[in-house]
Amino acid sequence: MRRVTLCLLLFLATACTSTDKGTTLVLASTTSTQDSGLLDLLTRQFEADNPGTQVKTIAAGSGEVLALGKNKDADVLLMHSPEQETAFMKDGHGVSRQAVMNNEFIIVGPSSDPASASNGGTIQQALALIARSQQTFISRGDDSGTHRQEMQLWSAAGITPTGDWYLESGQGQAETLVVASEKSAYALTDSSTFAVTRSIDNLKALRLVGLRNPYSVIVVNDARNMAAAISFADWLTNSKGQLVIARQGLFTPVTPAGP
Amino acid sequence: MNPLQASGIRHRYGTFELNVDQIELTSGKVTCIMGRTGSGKSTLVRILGCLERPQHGVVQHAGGKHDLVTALQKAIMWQGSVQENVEYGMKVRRIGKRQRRSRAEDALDALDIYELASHDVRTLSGGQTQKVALARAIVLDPEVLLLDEPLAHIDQESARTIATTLKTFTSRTGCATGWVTHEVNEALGVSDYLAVMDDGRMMQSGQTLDVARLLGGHNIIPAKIESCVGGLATAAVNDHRFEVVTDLVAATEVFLLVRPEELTLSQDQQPGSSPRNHFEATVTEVTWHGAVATIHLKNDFSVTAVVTRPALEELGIILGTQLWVNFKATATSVIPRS
Amino acid sequence: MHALRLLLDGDPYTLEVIATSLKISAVSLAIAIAIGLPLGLALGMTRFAGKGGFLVLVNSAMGLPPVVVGLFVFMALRNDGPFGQAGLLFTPTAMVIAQVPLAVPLIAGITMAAIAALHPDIRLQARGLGAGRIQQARLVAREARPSLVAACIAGFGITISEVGAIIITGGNLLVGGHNYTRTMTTAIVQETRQGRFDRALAFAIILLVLIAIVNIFLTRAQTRR
Repeated sequence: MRRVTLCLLLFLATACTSTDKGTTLVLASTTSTQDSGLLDLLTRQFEADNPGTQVKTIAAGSGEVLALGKNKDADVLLMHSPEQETAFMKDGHGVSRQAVMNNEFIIVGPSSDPASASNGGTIQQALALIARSQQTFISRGDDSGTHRQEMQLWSAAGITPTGDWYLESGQGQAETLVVASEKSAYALTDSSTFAVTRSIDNLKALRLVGLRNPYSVIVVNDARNMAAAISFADWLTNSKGQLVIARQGLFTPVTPAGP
Repeated sequence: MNPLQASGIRHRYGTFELNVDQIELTSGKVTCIMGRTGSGKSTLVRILGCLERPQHGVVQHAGGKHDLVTALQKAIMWQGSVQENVEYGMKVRRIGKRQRRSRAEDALDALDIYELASHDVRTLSGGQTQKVALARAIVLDPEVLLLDEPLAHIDQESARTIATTLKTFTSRTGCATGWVTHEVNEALGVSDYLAVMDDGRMMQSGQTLDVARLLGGHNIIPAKIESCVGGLATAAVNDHRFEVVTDLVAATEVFLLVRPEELTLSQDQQPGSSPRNHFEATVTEVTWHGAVATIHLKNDFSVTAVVTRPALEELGIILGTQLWVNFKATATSVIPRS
Repeated sequence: MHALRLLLDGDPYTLEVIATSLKISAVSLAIAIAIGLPLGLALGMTRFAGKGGFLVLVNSAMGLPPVVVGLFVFMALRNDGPFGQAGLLFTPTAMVIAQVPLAVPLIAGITMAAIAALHPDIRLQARGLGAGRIQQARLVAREARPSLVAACIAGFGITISEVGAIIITGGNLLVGGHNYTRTMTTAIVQETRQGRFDRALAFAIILLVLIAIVNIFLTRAQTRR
C-alpha cells in the first residue's frame, strides 16, 4: 500500500514538474478552430518549429476567450468576433490584433428545405423566409461570434426572432449542428465546423451568397509569456502558419501560401 | 384433528440433519420440545411455524396463517414503543385501533409490564424485551402458539410467574402451545406433553410423566401440595414435608421429579445447610457404573442417588446403611397429576 | 455580486432555469425511487441463484459515468436510433430517461446495503406474527428508514447536480426565449463558456442553497421518529 502511495506521489510530482520545462504558452480559441481540427495542427507544427515551447489550448466560447484574456489566464487569443475584438483592443487588453484567416457563414437546414430558404439568395433573405414559415431554427444563443453575427442579420432583416420555432442551444457550433440535424431544423454556422462535424447527414448547406467570417489573433497585453505569444502570432500570420491553414483547406489563409 | 401436526420431517443443512417422524400439538395443552443446544429444536420450531419449508415432510395446521403465531428465540423488537410492538400483529390483521389498544393493554398486564407500554423498546432490559415479545405473541390469541425459549433472559422469580401465565393462557384459550427449552426442570414443570430431542431426532415423546419415566434417571415421588405462598409450596409425601417451587394451589395432587445427581447423601442430619429438604432412608441396592455407583434408598417411598467411589467409601455405604438424603427445593420439578 | 442580486430579484430567465432543474430532478427522482426502493428491498430480502452477480452489477452501476449513460440514451433516441420515432431527443423526457438509470442503482444499492445490515430474523419474526410479504417489506423499510432516506438523498444529489448526461440528451435548449431543457447545471456550463463567471457563480450558489434546503427537509425525515 505504502509503495503504491509512493509511486502515486512520484507520478504526481513528475506530472507537475514536467510542464515546467521550457515555456508553456496558453492559447485560448473559439470552438470552431478546435472542432475543425485546425487548432491541433497549428499547435503541433508550432511546437515542432519552436522546441522548448509548449502550447496549452483552451477552446471556449468567445465570451470566455475574452475573459481569459482580460484576466491574463491566456497569453494569446484566436477568435472571430470582430466587434468584441475591437472593444477588447480599445480597452487596452490586447497589444496586437492581426487577421489570420477566413471562412464563411452559411445557412444549413433539412435537404427538403421546407422554408424554401434557398430562394432568398442571401443569408439575410433566407432567415426572413425561415422566420415567415416558422420552420425550426436553432440559434447558438451563446453570445459567440457566430451568434452575434446571427443577431446582426436578424436585425438587418427587421425581425425579432421569437416563438416556438426559435430554439437556442447555448452550446458550441458542433453541438448546435447536431441538435439542428436531429430536429430537422435550420442553423447558421461557419463553413469549417459544418465540414468536419459528423452524423449531421440531415443537414445540407443552402446555396446562398457567402458571408465572410474573419479570424484574428490577439496578443494579450502584459501576457505572462509575452515573447512566446508574439512569436506565435507572428508564426501564425507568416508563411509557416499560413501554409498549415492552407493545407488543411477548411479555412482560407489571409496571405496566399508561398511555395 | 389436532391444530398442528407434522409428519415425516427431514431437513438437512450442512452436516446436521433434522429427522422427526411425528409431532403434534394439542389444544389447551403445553407441549415442550426439550433438548440440548444444537439438537435441532429451533429449526423444528421454524418448520412447525411455517417459517421454513422442510425439505421433506408435511406440516398441517388448522386455520389460516393468522392462527399460527411464533415467537423466535431472539426477541427482535421493531423501532418504537412497547405498545406499538405489541400492536404489530393486530395491525397486520387489520384490527381496529381501539381494540388493538385495549388488547395490548391486557397482554401487557398479563405479563406484568403494563407500566412499560410507552417505553422505547431500546431502553428495555433483556428480560423486559423477552416479556414484550411474549405479549406481542399472546395478544393475537392464536390457535397455535410456538415459543422458542420463552423464559430466556428472564430472572428466576418472574420466570415462574410467566410460566404460570403462559400455562393459564394455554388452558384458558384452548391454544395449542409449543414450548422449546433446554432446561429440564422448566420442561418438566410446564409441559403437559414432552418431546425430547437429541441430534436432530425425537428421542421420546408423550405425556410428560410417561416421558420422564421412560427417560429414567428421575426420581418420581407422588405428593400433594399442602400450601403455597408466593410460588414456594410445601408438598406432602406421606409424613414428610418438602419445600418446592410451584404456583400450584393447595390440595393439588402432584409428582415431584428430582434427578439422582441432585440428591446428596450424609451420615447425619444437616440442619441449616442449604438443601432444606431431607429425609432418612435405607440403602437397598448398590450398582456400579465405572467410577460411580447408583444407590437405591427406601423409606416409605424409594429414590435413587448417584455417588462416586470415594464418597461411597467415606459414607461407608453397604446394604442396609441408614443415610440422610438431602435435595434443594429448586432442583425439584412439580408436575400435576391428571 | 450584481448577478446574484439580479437572479434573486426574480429575473424570469433565472426562475425558469431553477424551475426546470427542480422539475426534471423531481420527476427523475420520483421514478428512480419507485424503481430503486422496491428493487433494493427485493434484492436485500430474497435469495436466488445468481444473486451475487446481480449485486456486483448493481454496485458497479452505482458508479456509472453520467456522460456514458447520456451517450447511450442519445444514441437510442436520435432519429436514426432504435427509438428515434418517438422524437424524444432534446426534450425534458430524454433528460429524465438519462437520469433514472443513474439514480436507480444508487438508491437500490444503498437500500440493499441497509437491509443487509438489519437483523436477518426481523422478517422471519414478522412472518411469525402473521405478516405477509408486502407487510414484511414495509416493516423492513420502516426499520431501515434512515438509510432509505439516505438513499433518496443520494438520488436527489445526482439528479440535481448531474450535468454530463442531461446536456447531451437535453441540449440546454430555450424555445422561443423560454426555458425548455436548461437546468442550473447546464446553465453553469454555458455561463462559464461565455465567460460570464459571475452569473455562473450565482447559479452555483443558488444550486448549493437549494440542495441544502432540500437536504434539511430530507434529514428531518431521516431523524424523525
